Amino acid sequence: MLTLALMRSFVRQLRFSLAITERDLRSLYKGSVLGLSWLFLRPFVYTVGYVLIIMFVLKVRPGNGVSTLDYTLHILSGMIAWQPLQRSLEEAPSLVRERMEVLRQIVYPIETLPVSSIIISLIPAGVTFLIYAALAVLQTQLTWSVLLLPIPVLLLTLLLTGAAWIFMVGGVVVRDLREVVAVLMGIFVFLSPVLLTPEMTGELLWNIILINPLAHVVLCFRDVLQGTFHPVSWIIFVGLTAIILLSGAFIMARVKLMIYELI
Amino acid sequence: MTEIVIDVQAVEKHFYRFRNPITGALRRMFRVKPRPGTYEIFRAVDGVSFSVRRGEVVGIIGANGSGKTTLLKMIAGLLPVDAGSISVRGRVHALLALGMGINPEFSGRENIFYGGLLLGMSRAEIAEKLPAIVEFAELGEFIDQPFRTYSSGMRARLLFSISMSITPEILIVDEALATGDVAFVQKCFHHVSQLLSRGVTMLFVSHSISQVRQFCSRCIVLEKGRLVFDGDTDAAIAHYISGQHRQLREQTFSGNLGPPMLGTGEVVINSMHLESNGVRILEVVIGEPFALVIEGMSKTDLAAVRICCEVYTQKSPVTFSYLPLPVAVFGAEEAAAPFVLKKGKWRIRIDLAAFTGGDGMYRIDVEMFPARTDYHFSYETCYCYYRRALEFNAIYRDPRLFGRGVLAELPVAKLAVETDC
Repeated sequence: MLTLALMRSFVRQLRFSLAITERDLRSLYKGSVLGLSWLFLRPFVYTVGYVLIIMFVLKVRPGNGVSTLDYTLHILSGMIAWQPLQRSLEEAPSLVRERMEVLRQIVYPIETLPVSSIIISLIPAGVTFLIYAALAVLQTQLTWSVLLLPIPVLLLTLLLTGAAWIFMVGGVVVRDLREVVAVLMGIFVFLSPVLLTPEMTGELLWNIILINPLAHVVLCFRDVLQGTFHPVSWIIFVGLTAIILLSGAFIMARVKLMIYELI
Repeated sequence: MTEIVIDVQAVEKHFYRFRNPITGALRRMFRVKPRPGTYEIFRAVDGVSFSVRRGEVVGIIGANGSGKTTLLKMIAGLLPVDAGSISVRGRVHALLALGMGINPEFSGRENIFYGGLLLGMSRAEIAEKLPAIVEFAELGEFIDQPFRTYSSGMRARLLFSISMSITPEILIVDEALATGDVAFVQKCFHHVSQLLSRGVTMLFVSHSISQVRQFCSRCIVLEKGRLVFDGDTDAAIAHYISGQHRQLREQTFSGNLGPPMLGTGEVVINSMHLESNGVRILEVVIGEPFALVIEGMSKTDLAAVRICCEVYTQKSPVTFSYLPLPVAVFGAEEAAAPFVLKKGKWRIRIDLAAFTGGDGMYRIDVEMFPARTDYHFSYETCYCYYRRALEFNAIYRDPRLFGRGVLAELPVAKLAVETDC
């Protein structure tokens, strides 16, 4: 019951959360000359930089007739899923601490804290998607399945919300959580389908990589972007989202008030 | 009788300090009973019960650390309750601190918008109130400048105006009412009075006795987390001040004054108190007569002794001024006259025609020394010196009449009005 009530209050507060997101976005670049354009400029420059380095400096050829451009598209499609995952999971443990002063003095819907962090983490992924789409059109590889992109994005948002609730609570008690998550996500990006292909790793390593449930999140995004289909990955993605979201809400609902005592 | 809107029943709040901050905090978080010996417990609020009816204004007073803010936070829903229950009916707004969510880069207008959002207002509500807030804050054309460029007075005014823009049913205020210049403080008081006249229920924590007196008809007094008094404001303030005195006395002199802090110790003061019409008092009413009674003993016969009482003021709750120098000595002629003290107990009574200082807390330092013409006072050679021998509170006969910003009441001998001249 508590869990349901928490999720209902989360939905009711969406409008408030969006206004707070707007505030956070504005405060990020307030007073700078280019202002909010930085939000798009930074991921754009980075991604274009990656693409140029992969294509013209590293000239990666994974073999089996896969061209460098194909591999670039492979990486970009993986990054679209990985960027928001990495960023919002890293930020989640310190969400409460960063707003401690406000939380101490104002009755604040603490469960809405992840919203602005997640939305802001989706923006660079959006920029990466645009670059991906442009390159894919050039390669005539863009498939109609791209129209289904909102489905994995929605699932990812729900997954991140649940995970952020768990990490928020964890971060109140164990400060080190932020660093642990950052290190793990930094390593996993190299051991995930973002950079690797089954051809590069061989069957054994690939299966080990697939133990990490986050690998399936990447595969599902790639399914939609590149018109492939991995049914098992979808089952894992949906199941994972449901489990994390419910357990996050379960924990959050129970410790919501107690957090105030511990900060 | 109107309905009860805040009902606090036997509420307790315990703060834990765990040996192991991680497992301890996790146990606390999920309300698993911690193992004995792994924690220390501090009872911030201990068995407090009271109820507030609609439209009542209740002051909460008590020394620092007596649990006032903890209690308010529990009522506002900002802290879990460990035992007992709190039920609140109506939209509560807690003003525990000003300036929440202020971004110095944002303009005044943006800060009003997002500040209002954090206070629980909707976009439309804020847009509707914006002109009133800007007007109240007296910001004029600065409203679109970044907050960081504001003067400290402008900042205080803006923050207060944002907080005051809410339309609560129940208002919880913690020490937030004293910001900005005198005129603005008065404006805020006026605003609060208006809210109150509209039937808003208010819980008000303040160290400023005059503010409490101005707004509250009823007060509760907390002492070390326990409710020690609940009732009429004047009685509550007397209770609080006597408690403060008792504590100070206990801290400094453990019951009575005892041996002097400095001096030769030939004279010892045992006790000191203030009297008015033969009754012991803790509060001196400005402009009215009172007496200082000192009892003590001397160890030898002393032919000529002088007594000097220096009065120091602490921060005045009304004028907010500090006067760290002695503001007064008791009488130049009468009390400065030398007198004889025989060996044994004695009693000195100094009658004062009127208290002519401003309001606030005062302390009296007393020194007794030889009255020889060639004697130069020093702390080592005087008979006795007591710092903070007595503390008292001075109040205006009618705070509304004298207003704020008054340092002293000048005694008027006669008011003569002539017409037809």
